[in-house]
Amino acid sequence: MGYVSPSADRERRGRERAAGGARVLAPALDEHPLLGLQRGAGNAAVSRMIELGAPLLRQPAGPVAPPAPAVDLAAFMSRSYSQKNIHPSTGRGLFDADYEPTTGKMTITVRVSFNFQTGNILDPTWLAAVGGFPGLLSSGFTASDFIWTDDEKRAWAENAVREVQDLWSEQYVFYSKTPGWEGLPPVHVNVVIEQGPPDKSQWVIDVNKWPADVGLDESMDVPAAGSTQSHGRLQEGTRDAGGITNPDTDLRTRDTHTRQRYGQVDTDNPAIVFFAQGSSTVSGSDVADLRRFGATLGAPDIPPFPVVLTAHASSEGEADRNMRLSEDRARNVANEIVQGGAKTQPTEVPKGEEGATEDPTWRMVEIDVKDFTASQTTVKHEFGHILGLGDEYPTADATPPTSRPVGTPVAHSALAQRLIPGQQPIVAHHDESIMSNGEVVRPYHYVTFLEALGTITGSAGAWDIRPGPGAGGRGPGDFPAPTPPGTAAA
Amino acid sequence: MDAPALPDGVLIQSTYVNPEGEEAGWRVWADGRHEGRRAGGAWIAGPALDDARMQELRAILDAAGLEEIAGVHEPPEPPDEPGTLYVQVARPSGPVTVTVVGGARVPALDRLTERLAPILAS
Repeated sequence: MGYVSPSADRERRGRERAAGGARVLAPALDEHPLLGLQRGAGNAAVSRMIELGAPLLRQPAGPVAPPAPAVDLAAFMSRSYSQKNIHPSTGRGLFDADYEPTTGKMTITVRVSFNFQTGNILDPTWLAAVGGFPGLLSSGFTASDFIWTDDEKRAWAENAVREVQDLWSEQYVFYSKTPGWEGLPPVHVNVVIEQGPPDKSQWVIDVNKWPADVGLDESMDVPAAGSTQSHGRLQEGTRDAGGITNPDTDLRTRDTHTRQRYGQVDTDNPAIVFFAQGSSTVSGSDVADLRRFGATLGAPDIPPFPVVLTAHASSEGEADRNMRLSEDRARNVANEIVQGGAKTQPTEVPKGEEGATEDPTWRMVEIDVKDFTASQTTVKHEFGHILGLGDEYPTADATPPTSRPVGTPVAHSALAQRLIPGQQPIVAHHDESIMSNGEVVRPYHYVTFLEALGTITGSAGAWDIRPGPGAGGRGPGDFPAPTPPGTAAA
Repeated sequence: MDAPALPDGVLIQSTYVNPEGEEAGWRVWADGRHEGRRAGGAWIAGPALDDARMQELRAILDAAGLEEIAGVHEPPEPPDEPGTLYVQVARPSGPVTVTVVGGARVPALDRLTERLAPILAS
């Protein structure tokens, strides 16, 4: 056989491949995942990956990846995945999911029809809530407080969709735990709300227009098993902050009396810590008390109550030194509370000798527990139900117990514990979480997306989660498992 | 949660207890006084009902069949922290209470409100 140029050799191999002939590649090259992908997925998939600069293609030539996983990965990446009308195992929620492995793009689509309703002035509940006709007649309400205009409908829907999509998208990223699949692009989740006619929608949501929010119920129904449509209701106030074109936001305040369990914070609060003259050292017994207090503040069923430490010094000695002394005292008390497990850093307010005398009782730090406040745009919370999550705020104290008293695992806790390594139980309490009283999306709020990814790709349990580009809501206990090397957020 | 007390002399009282536990509502006394209050607020007087309207109101209540819908009405899936409406009417046999939880629809109550509105609003 005479000389064969490289280009002629490539052409020959191409002809053989096209004709289904025997492969002639050297074994080492043959095992390269790119070639496996080319065989499994075709040139189009490879081209898409080259355009995207997928990490898989940045491997050096040669047998660097374990052959079997690489081939499996190639097969996995050779197709797209999608499923309509997913019912998460939490027993709530209804949505579509699409996943394109070559790009890592996962789209959660919710098909919605907003059914804008004129507030019914004769609704028995609403009429009672505004104080009946005596309340109504003195209110100055007009017809425009109840009737949607087309412009208002359009603006409200645009704002609601944008706010929901922004909150729920790109908060966290999924990555494969399968050995040898490190090259699979991380999975970025985008939530898309598609508006359409009622008969084509998964969710038909009544949006009632009222003059103001009077506390009427807002909820999303639990979809029946196998169903393709469910319903919900929202109440929007014309005269609430932001007007009718912006979805309503509620500001809620919780204190240590809001639920009986929260009173433990007051019980364990030392209230005052005393110091020796000129000293900022916390005594042994106070250390134990402060750490117990910190542990209570950090308990999973206690709200993140803010703590303020007001530190003093008696008036003996120089004012500057007394200021530094009070700073040290506040810092040392704060450190012990945090060491105990408090969720939030106490606020330190050093006062030095301000207002003090030489009385030794001024050598102290006062500990105040403040109210916890959080605001939440209701439609963002309600879409959490549409995405398969349950409420995390506790129902009222009562005998017999209500459906979800403080400390009870919430609807998505079991699934999160099953799918997220190291996930602790998620228990009912008031905090800044989107499914409680605030707007923070925590990693476990992506658990129904994680489940959907496993379901539609047939790879349940093969995924983990890490912070995404938009993540800002990490809290205690999030990401207990170390982030694998090479998967840092882009 | 127990229904609010129905004071002696009140003919009909409608009370909404919101999820925060605050009470609002309206009521009509047998002597024609008509009062309302916002959540957590004090009762304020509205225009009193004259004899003719009181007679009409009594006739509507007699025909409303509230005894038949007395009890608790809940939606198929009540919210976790629902608001509750209590409609209470003094009847010769004793007070009748219709309890509506979590925005449940009770058509007979809707019809009653529609019939009372022209009397109460005038």
